[in-house]
Amino acid sequence: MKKILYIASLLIISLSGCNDFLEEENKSNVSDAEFYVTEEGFQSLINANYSQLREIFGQDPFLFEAGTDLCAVGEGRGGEPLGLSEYAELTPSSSDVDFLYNNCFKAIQLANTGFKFADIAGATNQQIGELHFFRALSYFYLVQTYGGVTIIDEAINEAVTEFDRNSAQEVYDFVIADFENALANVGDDTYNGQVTKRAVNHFLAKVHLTRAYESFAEASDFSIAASYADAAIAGQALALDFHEIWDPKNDMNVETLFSVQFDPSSTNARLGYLGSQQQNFSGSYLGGSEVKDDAPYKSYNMIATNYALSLFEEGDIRYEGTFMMEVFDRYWDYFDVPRANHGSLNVFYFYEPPWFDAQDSIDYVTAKNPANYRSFGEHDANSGAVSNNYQLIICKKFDDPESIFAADGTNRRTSNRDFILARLAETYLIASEAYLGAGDAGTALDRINEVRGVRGVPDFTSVDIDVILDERGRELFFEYHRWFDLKRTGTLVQRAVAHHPQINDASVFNGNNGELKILRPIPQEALDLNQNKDFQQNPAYN
Amino acid sequence: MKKTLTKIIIMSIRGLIYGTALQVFFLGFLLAKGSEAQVIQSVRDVKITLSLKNASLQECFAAVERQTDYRFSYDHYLINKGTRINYQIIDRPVSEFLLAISQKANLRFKQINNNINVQRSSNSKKERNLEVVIQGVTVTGKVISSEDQGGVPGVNVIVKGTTNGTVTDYEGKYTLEVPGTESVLMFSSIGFASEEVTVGTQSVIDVTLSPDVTALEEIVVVGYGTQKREDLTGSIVSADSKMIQERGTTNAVQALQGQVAGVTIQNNSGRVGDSYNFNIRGKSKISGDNEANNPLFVVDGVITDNIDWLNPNDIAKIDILKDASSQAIYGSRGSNGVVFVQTKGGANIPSGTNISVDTYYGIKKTARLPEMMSPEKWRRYHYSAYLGTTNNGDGLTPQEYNDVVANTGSNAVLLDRFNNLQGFDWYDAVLKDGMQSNTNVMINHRNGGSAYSLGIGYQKETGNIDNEGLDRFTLRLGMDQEVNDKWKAGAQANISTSTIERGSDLAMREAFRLNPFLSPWAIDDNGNEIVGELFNQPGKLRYPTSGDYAINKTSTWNPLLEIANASDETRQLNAIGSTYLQFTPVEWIILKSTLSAGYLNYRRGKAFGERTNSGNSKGINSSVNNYTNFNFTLDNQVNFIKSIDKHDFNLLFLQSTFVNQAENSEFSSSGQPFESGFQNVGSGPQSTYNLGNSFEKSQLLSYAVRLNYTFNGKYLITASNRWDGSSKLAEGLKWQSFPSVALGWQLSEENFIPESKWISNLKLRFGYGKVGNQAVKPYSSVSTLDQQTYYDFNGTSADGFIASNLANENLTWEVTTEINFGLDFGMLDYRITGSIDLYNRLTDGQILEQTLPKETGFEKIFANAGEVRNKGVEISLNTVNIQTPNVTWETSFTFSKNTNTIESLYGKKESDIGNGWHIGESIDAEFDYKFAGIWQSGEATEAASYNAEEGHVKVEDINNDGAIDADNDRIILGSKDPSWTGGFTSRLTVSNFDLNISLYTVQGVFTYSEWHANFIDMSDRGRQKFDVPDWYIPSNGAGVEPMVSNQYPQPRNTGSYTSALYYKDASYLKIQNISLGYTLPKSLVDNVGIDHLRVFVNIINPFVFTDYEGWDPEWATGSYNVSRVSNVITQFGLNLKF
Repeated sequence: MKKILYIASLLIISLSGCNDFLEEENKSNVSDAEFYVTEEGFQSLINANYSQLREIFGQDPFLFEAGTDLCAVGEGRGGEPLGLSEYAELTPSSSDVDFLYNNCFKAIQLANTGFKFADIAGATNQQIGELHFFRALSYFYLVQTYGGVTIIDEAINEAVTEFDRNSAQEVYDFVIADFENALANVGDDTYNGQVTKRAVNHFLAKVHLTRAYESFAEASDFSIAASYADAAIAGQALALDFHEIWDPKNDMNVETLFSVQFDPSSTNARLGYLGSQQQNFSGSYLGGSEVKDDAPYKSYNMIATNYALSLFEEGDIRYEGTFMMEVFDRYWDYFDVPRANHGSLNVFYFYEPPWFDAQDSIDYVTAKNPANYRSFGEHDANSGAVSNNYQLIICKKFDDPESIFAADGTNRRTSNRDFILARLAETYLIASEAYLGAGDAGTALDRINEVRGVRGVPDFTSVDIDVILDERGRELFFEYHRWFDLKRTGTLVQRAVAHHPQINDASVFNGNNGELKILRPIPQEALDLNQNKDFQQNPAYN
Repeated sequence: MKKTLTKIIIMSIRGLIYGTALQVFFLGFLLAKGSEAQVIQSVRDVKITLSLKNASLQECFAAVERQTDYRFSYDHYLINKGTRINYQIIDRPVSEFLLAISQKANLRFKQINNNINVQRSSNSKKERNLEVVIQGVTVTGKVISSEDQGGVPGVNVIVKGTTNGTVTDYEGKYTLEVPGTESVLMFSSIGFASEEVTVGTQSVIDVTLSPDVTALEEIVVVGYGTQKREDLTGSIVSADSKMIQERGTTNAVQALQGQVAGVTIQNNSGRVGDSYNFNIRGKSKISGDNEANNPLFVVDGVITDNIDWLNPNDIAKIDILKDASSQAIYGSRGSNGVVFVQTKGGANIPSGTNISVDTYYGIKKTARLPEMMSPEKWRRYHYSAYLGTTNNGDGLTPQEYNDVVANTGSNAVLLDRFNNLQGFDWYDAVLKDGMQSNTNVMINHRNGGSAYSLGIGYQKETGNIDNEGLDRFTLRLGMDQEVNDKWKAGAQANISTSTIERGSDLAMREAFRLNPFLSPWAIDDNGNEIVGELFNQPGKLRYPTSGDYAINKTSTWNPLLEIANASDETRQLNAIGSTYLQFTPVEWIILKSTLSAGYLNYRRGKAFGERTNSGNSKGINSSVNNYTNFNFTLDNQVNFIKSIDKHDFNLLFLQSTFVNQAENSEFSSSGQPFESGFQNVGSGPQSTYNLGNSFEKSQLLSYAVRLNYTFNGKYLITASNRWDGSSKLAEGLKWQSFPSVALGWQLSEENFIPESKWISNLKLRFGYGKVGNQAVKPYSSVSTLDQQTYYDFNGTSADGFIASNLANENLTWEVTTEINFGLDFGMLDYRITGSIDLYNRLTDGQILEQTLPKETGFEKIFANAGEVRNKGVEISLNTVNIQTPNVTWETSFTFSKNTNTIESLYGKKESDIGNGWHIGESIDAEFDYKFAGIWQSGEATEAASYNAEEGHVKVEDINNDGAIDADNDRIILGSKDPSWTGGFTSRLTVSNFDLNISLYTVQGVFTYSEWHANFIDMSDRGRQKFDVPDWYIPSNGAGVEPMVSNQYPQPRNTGSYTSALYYKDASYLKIQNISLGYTLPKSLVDNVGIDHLRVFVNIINPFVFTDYEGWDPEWATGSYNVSRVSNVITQFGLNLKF
């Protein structure tokens, strides 16, 4: 009996304290409720919000640039999503349609998580402003791409499976309110990677400008856009040489208003996974890993159209600043040898500019004797060329000569160049477009000529929307704006049909219900996962 | 009933008469022989006086031995150590005492001369529990086991037709006096098939006994205890060491393939050191890797992830709990089934010392390599690959075409090789003979209540490409100690260290992707090969001086360099140990505490030298991953065992605690200055350092109660309940209860089934039970900031931390409910035995990674969101076809069929196409467009209406709406789940020779084949191809002869639906092994002190029958990148016993 008692007491001992026993012990990580309430923790959440920008920008360019008058797929090597670049086969399941949808909603959840903890954490005004900025920026890209989407203004902390659609008008209101809140809160310091008032002004100008073309526009949108743009300009004249702006080591130049930051200090932790891949697009394939140290990896996507190249006239420094006109023995020689000494290098490939006449060609060949001479009309997306290496002209603006070679499909994020989201020249062009819309053509002309003056081309004497779009094409080639520019100004169909080599007929834009495929479709996967079956697809795809 | 009673009375009377007659006989004998003769008396006659209080059985036997000449012989493990006897007897026959004990302890006694043999009894008929055999003339001999050629102790040797007999001693020797030359000796022992030998003129009769396949007395592990197979109510299959060892595999799991019904075992890659998928009764996990469906492995009471690290020769027995009623006692852990592994040693060690050595060496040759395109054929393929996509697909002149294809400027050498048809055999360059060997030494020793067992093993294996292999040392130690009647203790430990080199993950792939005109060698300035000098990128071949391209086709890295300069080495230590302490305070109570612990540590180092693909782009780079996992289990159990009249009870209370803790650390760098493998990661530039480590811990607390009740040896009930609490689940939802009940009915014990040769055994089983699963990462119910984000502000880094998944505050148990019906049968005196099981198991609230709506901003949440059903039938059948002293032939068959269906998802009967999950279909269903041929030239108009062209892959327009779309035209094509599997084993012994053959078949496997996606990928122009008979070439102006094909599209103009081409039937029938052994005659080996010596040759995978064209149908469903070619292994070995 004694023994039984002994056993019983043993059992009781082992039973007691069982509640404690099942508590989880996590030594390597903390919970959000523990960490985000501290100063360091909250800043880490803000940093994570910034980091999400790297997922949105500097990656796949297709939703930003494909299917426009400036960029087309290079023939022979696919990879560019057919739906986004040629419209006829654009469906909710087309590849890359979901790119902004997924990444922007992630950014929105991160911003909302910030708002959830802001009070307890004692967030600074700058931090509050940044959260508003991130959320507004994401919704701005969403509403332009997909139209009205779900407005979520609180952190999600359970498996919500049903979401409703808000109207585009509601989303614009939400975006403007958020940007205004950002403006009220962020500081006015010199740009150092963080959101500043000038950056917010730039985006407020762009939001109002964009909404101004919508059916639900406010009458004052153009003029408000103009004044925000002027506020962003803040009296700063354009002063930098185009080459200086795109010098690989000069991403933080005085004309950068906001950029997504990349630097070895934060990308080396996972080589090839944390950087930008903007440099990989827009150009011929240059070879596989055997060309490492000689040339970067290029994917044969987003090739300049003949129209894009033809926009440039002789003297426009932006042509040489944007494209690799001359490829020396090594591709990287362009960056590794000082520009002043380029004249002494052997030219291996020469891509003739649009303004060359027969005599120019003869003069060039006589002077430089390039190993390969690519005549104008043979090195663009319209040329129907075969997919040989170096066949087509390459955009070099974003090249990072210090990046490792992008070895394969999974680790191509190798560039440490910042992704410039807002720079002063664009602010001038926004201002020009806003003044034009507001009826002040004179100021519009002033603003656009401010840009032309520093690019080596004569002033315009008159301005209309096409002039502005062409100027944007020259100034901002492949800076992830073009599709939005054409969509905003209602010129997408006309310009794509006129200049995109694979889009020859406006009928490719015909969607269902007599609607055009202007807005992108809500991604099929998003619809599938949303248990609210009343969530409407955009009419052209319904 | 009446009849039985009459029978009993008659038999009792008969016994009485015999007894009296014997007494008279012996009396006479005694008188005749005189007093100096050894008197052998019946237990019925010898009287004793005893007074026992709370005595153990051993004490009872010792008491009798002290007063008489009798000696008891018994197997230790058959005797219930907990039984306590209170008995007083004054000058009464020993038999009376024995019968009393027999009732209390379920024992049967057999007196053979002065030896009293003790056996477990299942016999409810009391008088059968005592048998007396006393005899007269002399034959001697030895009984040995055909299994290990060792002596078999405790074999009953009886003169047929009499009760005259004896039992063999420890060495298996016996001496028996028989009436005359015409006498027939019957040798029988539990666990062995009986033998009969006519005495004739022989005075020495040695007999070999074969294990009895029926083995009803087999002890089966049921979780926190053991049961005899005949008492089982659940569905449990077993494999003994013989089944495991005779297959000659280096992995014990592989040896079970096809041997046990209801278990599907499949190798994923064929690569040395890779694991097997082990699947019991179908998959229940919708998401996660195959390992998520692996069962719980319990090695000597210790939970481990797998048993890959054990030496197969160290395993004594594997018991697999298949149905929920048997798994339920493992509650939380049991939902994928439980696999108990007992290593050799422990309580079963026989007395004395014996040493055995088992060894083999095998040569591994590649086999059944798929035929690839010849250089000539590939050249034609390559030409035709340019027609579709150059010059908009039309109108090339032969000259243009030659320019374009061969691109003379940069492909001069390729052109030369084209013209000379100078091909290179990559198979030959890369594939090598591999080897495998396994040597195991075992020492067992028992002296009374103390026993130990020691096993040492060494395994080595290499693959069919260089720089791939495995080295493994294993050490096993077991001890068992009876301290006294009340206390007992034991310990068991298994330690294994392995080094596994996996080489480059790209090597095999790149080798067979390179086209036959590319060779690994560099060239001189004249374009001649410099054989022996490896070139980095054979498809980007350059002249040494000018640096100009001689071939400019593909950047694929030279696989020979990749093999030589890449390393992926895992050095691993697995250790498990358990100790127990058992205390028996009173006869019917047993208390037992078991503490068991498992430890796993590995270091995985990867290094890529300068001349590898990765080293080329990132510089010399390496990484090291250290992982440590420690878990311990403390089980406290109380058993109450009591028999009251015809009622047998066994009641178990259990309390169990489990803690698992893992730590992981990783570091890497790239751009290292010199090649130091992965042994100097720090030599790389600091800016490339990547560091990380993590910690994970989880706890389980469990209580269980189980009652086994048997009435009259015929009606069996097992009922249990287990309560589990898991730290990983959400607050308030941590606990769950798992009940089970199972019934058994021993039909053959019933009187309405007459005792006959035809039906030896018949038992019905029914089981119902629930088991759970909490296989989810710890901290899934808490919003844990487990993901680091990276950013910087103008070069000042700014890290962030976020939650990678949405936490589930409602995460709870996944519960599987199962019903099982079983029938066990034995016929023709157990010459035919087998069982049939039917089951239906439903897994509800399945924990899966639910994909969240995109708007949430999260990818996944771990949720209780799926419902999966598995139902099926399993049959196993063993037959002893021939059983004579010189020839035995046994065969066994297994058959399993399982149907897997997804019943619901997220609480709704709606398919989740995004994840590939379809209601009413298998988890492994293949969903895609259906291949319908190739668009032919005459079908151009119709093709155009489908946005296709001549030469494109045609798929079926399922809904006939004139368009192919994802929503309406994709269908379920089949499933990777086999529709059935079967196994067959034949064991033939003729005199000293033995011949074993086993085969395994998996039928109805339909899978997307990555191998085909690589080697019949017609959208590619530069890589080697499977030797397809034809492909589509349209008529053209380029001088390439057109070719019609309805199977393979036009190269590089394939259309959009090529994936439809890659679904293949991967059913197969494998002859798993054929082994031939020869046991040297005793007379030969005895002289050199050897007890037993067998030599054998064993051929593994000699034949495979399949329609699958790739490397091996077994890993057709796996990843192609790491897959290996098939092989045939020829082993030579010997088994030696001292």
